[in-house]
This record gives sequence, structure tokens and C-alpha cells, in this order.
Amino acid sequence: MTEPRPITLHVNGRDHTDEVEPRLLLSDFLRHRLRLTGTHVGCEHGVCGACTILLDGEPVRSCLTFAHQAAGHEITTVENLAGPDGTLNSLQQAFRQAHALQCGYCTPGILMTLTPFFAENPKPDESEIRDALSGNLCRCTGYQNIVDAVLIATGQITAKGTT
Amino acid sequence: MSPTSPSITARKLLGAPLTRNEDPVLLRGAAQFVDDVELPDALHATFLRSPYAHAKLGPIDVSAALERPGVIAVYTAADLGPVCRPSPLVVPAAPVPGLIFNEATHTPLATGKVRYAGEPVAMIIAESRYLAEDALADISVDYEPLPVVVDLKRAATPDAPRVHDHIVGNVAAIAHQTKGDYAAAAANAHKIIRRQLSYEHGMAHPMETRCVAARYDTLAAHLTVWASTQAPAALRTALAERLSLGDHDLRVVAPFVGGGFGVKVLMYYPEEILIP
Amino acid sequence: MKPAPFDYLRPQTRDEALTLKAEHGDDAMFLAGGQSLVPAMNFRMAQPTVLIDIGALDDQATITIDPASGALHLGSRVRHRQLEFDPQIAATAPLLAEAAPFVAHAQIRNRGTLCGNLAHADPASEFPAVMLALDATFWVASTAGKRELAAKDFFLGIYTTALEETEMLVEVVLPASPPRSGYAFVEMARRPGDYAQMGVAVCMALHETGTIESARIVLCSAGDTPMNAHNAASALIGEVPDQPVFEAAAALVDQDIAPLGSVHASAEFQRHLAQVLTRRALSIAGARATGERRQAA
Repeated sequence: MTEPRPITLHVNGRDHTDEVEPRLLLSDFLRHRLRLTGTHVGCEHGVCGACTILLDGEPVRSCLTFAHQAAGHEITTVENLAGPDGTLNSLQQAFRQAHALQCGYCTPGILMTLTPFFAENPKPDESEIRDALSGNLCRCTGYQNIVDAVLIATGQITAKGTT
Repeated sequence: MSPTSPSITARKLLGAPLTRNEDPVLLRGAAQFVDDVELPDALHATFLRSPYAHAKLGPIDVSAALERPGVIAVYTAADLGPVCRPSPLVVPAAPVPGLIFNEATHTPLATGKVRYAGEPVAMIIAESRYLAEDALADISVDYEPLPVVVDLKRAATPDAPRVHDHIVGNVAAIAHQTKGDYAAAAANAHKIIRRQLSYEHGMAHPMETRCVAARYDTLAAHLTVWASTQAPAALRTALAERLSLGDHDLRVVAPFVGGGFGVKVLMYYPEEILIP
Repeated sequence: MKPAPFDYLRPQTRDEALTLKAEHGDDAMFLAGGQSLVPAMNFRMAQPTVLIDIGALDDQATITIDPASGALHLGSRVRHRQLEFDPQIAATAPLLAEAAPFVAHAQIRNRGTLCGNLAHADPASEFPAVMLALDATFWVASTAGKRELAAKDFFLGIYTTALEETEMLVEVVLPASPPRSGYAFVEMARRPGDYAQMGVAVCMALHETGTIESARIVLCSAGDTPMNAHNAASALIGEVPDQPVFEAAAALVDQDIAPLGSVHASAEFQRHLAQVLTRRALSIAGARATGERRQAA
């Protein structure tokens, strides 16, 4: 039976019920059924990391997960990071200060990869940060400012003079 | 990284980092890229692409695809009429004396033969991307493979397979440019070094792949196109000409664009013409 | 880039899963982590009409150590991430923990499973080679019962294993390592997370007098399946674990590999890497074995 069937997914703290085909990818469910378009699709085969979300707190590729597989799990997307009034969290704020994004397409995936890393590593060094980033591709920044953003967010350097 | 960088310095615009106005919306995941633009009831396109680098294009049978539920239309070059003519030349011939210039641009869908692996042969319009891709398997195409040349030097020889049948040696242009007096410089040179430099094919690979969406408002007789492009104004001009519209009858919007690096500029990709 | 339609089944027990597979045969594939299967489905290179998701089989996610034999038992849903971080693994089969970080990226390892990886049988994958180096035994089950296979008999070719149409790989068993043993996994890839241009897994054990008593050298990305360099390994037996011995053995690896070459490395370069990485892996394993022997003494 390949037809749509009922599904309830727990996303950013809320339940969402729908009816979708088994083959609908989690990335497409989030983007098109829930209109949470912050999660982006790049390569569609798990290599680029633009689609990275948190499943039970761990970064995974939403383009390699079927929506139905995610039933019963806790899904977190980039839209959950800022406060309800839109206030950026400290990691997002550090990205802004460090100019850690240009086109911004890879940014949500990188933020989701870094969110548990940031929580579990109070003082990571550059090589640990680069290792954590190795599963996300960025074509614009060259990664250096992203590394700086994590160093700023973890209080290890301060941002250069900013307005 | 210095752990003791000074923090906030004197506030001047010149020479001091500025935070960008667009960052908050990008960081929140709220920025609209082309695929994020909500177009309720939009149809979706996919393209059947040639697996051959060079082949004669025989009959294309789309009947099975048209019968698939959820498929709205299938187009081949024959269905496109005047839309299917060679794309405008993006960079005009340089004013170099004695220039040899062979203009040969592509058509939105392959006509007569396919000239590169991946050249679009048919466009399927369906209710979802998933359904459109299902229909790809329904289309049968008669290809007659032709000899392939993918090496630059070999392609330039007179008896190399021709990408365009009338262009011998696949030459797009030959331009000889001179400056100064080489003979005199050579006569006085300490040493003359000659090198032939080979370098690799350059690729752009923005994280956001190319994307285009369009909506035609029948009441207002107005076409809106959203394209992940570096050149929306130029694209508008090209589309107006191609679709015989006045400049004010259509609008091309480049929303947030996920990188371009040159690959999204002035190419008149088949999709950019076909989707509108 | 979207998968073809399929029916999705989510059994609650292993017996149910096996019954479904018996019913659907080759039309059905098991879905564990999906990190190899789903990309193939997105490309439509794989088009199973039925997916049997084993995600609800909690009893398949276990890591246990047999108190009597010391053997390590890994269930079909054990994920790469567990191999990387689980303290039991670090204590009893550290070669797994050493190889795990080379498998793709953390995001893939959070979902991908060892058994899924083994059943996929990509010649460039690290774990098939590691399994041969560790002399693993695989348990394969169907509605007809269970059977045991040595790892070396499991991998038959590119993406081809000894699994029959109705079977599932349900358990991997790793024997306890002998006393005075050492291990190493070394890989070369263009960037972290890329497919291995060459990888080498080594296990060796020393006799109490200090000479090499047993050794296995297995390479990935060196042929259609994990390649067992038995000539090189045989040359080590009875020898002292020192650099000249390792160099001589590494030179023999070439006899037992058949690298295919690819855009990432020519076959010639792969052969060169095989020798260099084997030498390095033998040095590391030898040092560890020697350290073990000293500690025991």
C-alpha cells in the first residue's frame, strides 16, 4: 500500500498530524507540509548537510529519512533556535558577529550540527570545531568565520568591533 | 586566532566590520529561497535527460507518461513551437580584427540530436515532483548513439565528431590578439620560456542548486517568475523577448539566492525558459 | 532525486520482520539506518516495492559481552555511533572504535548501522575489512531458522553478499582478542568522510616469547570485496615485530589485492597506498601488542 497514510510527528515541541505517502522524505514533510522551510535541500543524497536536523537531539540528514520513520521521535529544526519573539540565541548571535554566513543556504544545517556540539563542548579548540563541521559543506565562507563564531559563542575570543 | 582581540572599537563605518541586515532572517531559517516561495497548487516539472553525450534523436513516445495519473502535460521540442529556438548569445563576439566566430547556442529542449549527457529531451509537468519523476520511466526515446569527443585537442581537429554539424573542428571562436613588438622583444630576450598550460574544468557548485518557479495571473495578464539567478533583470529581458511579452507584463524575482559563483548568471538555462 | 513508491511495513518483532521478508522476497528490503539504502532510492538505483523498517525492534540494538567466552555480540540495529563511543566496545573491540570515525560523517553515523553497512557490502566500506580482521562470525536468520557464517564467506562481490532472498543479518559476534594482541586501522581519503582511497585493518597477537603468533591484514577499497592479504600476514608469523619485518610484509600485500581505480585514485596509486598504509598499520598494531605483552609480564 503506497498510498498516503496517517502520521503524527513531534516537531519543535508540537505534534503535527497529516496523511502522507511512505516515500515522502522528512525534508519534504518539514518544508512542504509544515511550511518549515528553514531546513534546506542541497544534494538529496546525504553528503552536503544542508538538510541536517536533530532527531532525538542528534544531527541527522532529513533527506535520508522517510517522514514515517520519524514517528515517535523528537524532531528539532532551525526554526526552534531563536526565541518566540525572534531573538537570536547565542550561537546565532555569534554567527552574525563573526560574519559566519554569506548566502545563508548551508547555515541552518550547520546551526543544527553545532547545536548539540555547542552544548556538549564548553571550550572546543579549532581542530575539534573543524571536525564537528566536517559533515556540512559551505561554498561561500571558507569555514574560518564559522570556526570563529563557535569560539565567540564559547567565550574564547571576542568579536572584532561591530556595530 | 588571538584570544585577546580587542572588543568594541571606535564606531566608524569605514574599516570596521558591519553586521548585515539580512542575517537574522537567514539565521532563523525564515529567508525565502525560490523553493520556499509558497505557490499553492503549483505543478512541478522534471526533465528527461539524455544519457548519451552525442546521439541522433529519433521518435519520442510520451503516451504512457500522459496516461499516468497526476501527470498534466509532457513537452518535447516539437511541442514548443517558436519558444524552441536557439537561446540568445550571452556574451557577444569581441571586436577583434580577423575574428572567426561561430554562433551556436542551445535550444531549450534537444532538437535533432543530443549534444551532451544530461541535455533535456522532454519536460514532464505533474502534480508533485515525486509523480513527475515516476513518469520519467514511462517515456521511450529512440537514440542513435554517435561518436563522442570530450578532449579539447581532439575536438579541434578537422575530422573530429561535430557537436554542430556545420562547425568543423568544433571551433566556437578564433581570435588572434597582439600587443607590442614580439620580434624585437624576442631578439633582445635573455631567455624565452614557452609553456602550454592545462588546467581543470572549473565548477561553481553553489549549495542551492538552480531553481525556477513561475505563476501566470490570467486576470492581470501578468507573469511572475522566481529564479535562483544572479541576473534577474537580464533574465526578464530575455524572457520577454522569447515569450513575446512587454517588459511590464512580467516580473523576475531573485529572492534569497543560495550562492551563484557565476553559474547562475546569464546562461538562459532551458529550465529558466521552459518553466515560465 | 525522489524515490519510487513503496509499501512501508514496520514489524514489532524480529519474527514478524522475517515473516514479511519471506512473504515478499526480493521485492522487499530491510530498512535499518537507511544511510546507504535511501540515497540509492533517491537516485532510483534501488527501487524496492516494499520496505520493512526494523526501527521498532528494540532487542536488536543490543551490545553484550558473553561472560564465559568474552565474545562481543552486536545486534542488527547497533549504530556506528555506538561503535565509536560505547565503553564496552572500547574495552573489548577497540578496532571498531578506531575505524568508526572514518565512516562518512557524524550525521551518517548517528543513524547508520553496522549490519546495514555489512549487508550493503560496498567494497570501499571500512567495516567489512574490519570484520575479517577480527575473524567475526555473522548470524543470519530467516523463517527457516538461523545459520552461522564466517565473515570471510559473507562478502561475495560488489554489493553482493551470501544473504539469501529471505534472510536478515541479525547478529555479529567478535571473539575475545587473544592475550598480547594489537590492532590498528589506517585509512587514506582525500578529505575526512570521503570514500577510502585505501584502508587497512590489522590484528596481530604475540607469542609469550614476543614473536608474532597470529596476524590478519585486510584491506578495503582494494578489490570487489574486503581483501585478505594472507601472503603478507603469513610472512609475519614467527617473526619479531619490528620495522624491517613490517616493511617486508607490507611489500607482499600487492599480491593479494586487485584495486579497481577510480576518479579518487588510480589503481597504481592505490597499490602504493596499500603498501604504505599496511606498513603504518603494522607498526601501530605491533607497538600495541608489544605494550600488551609488557603489561602482562
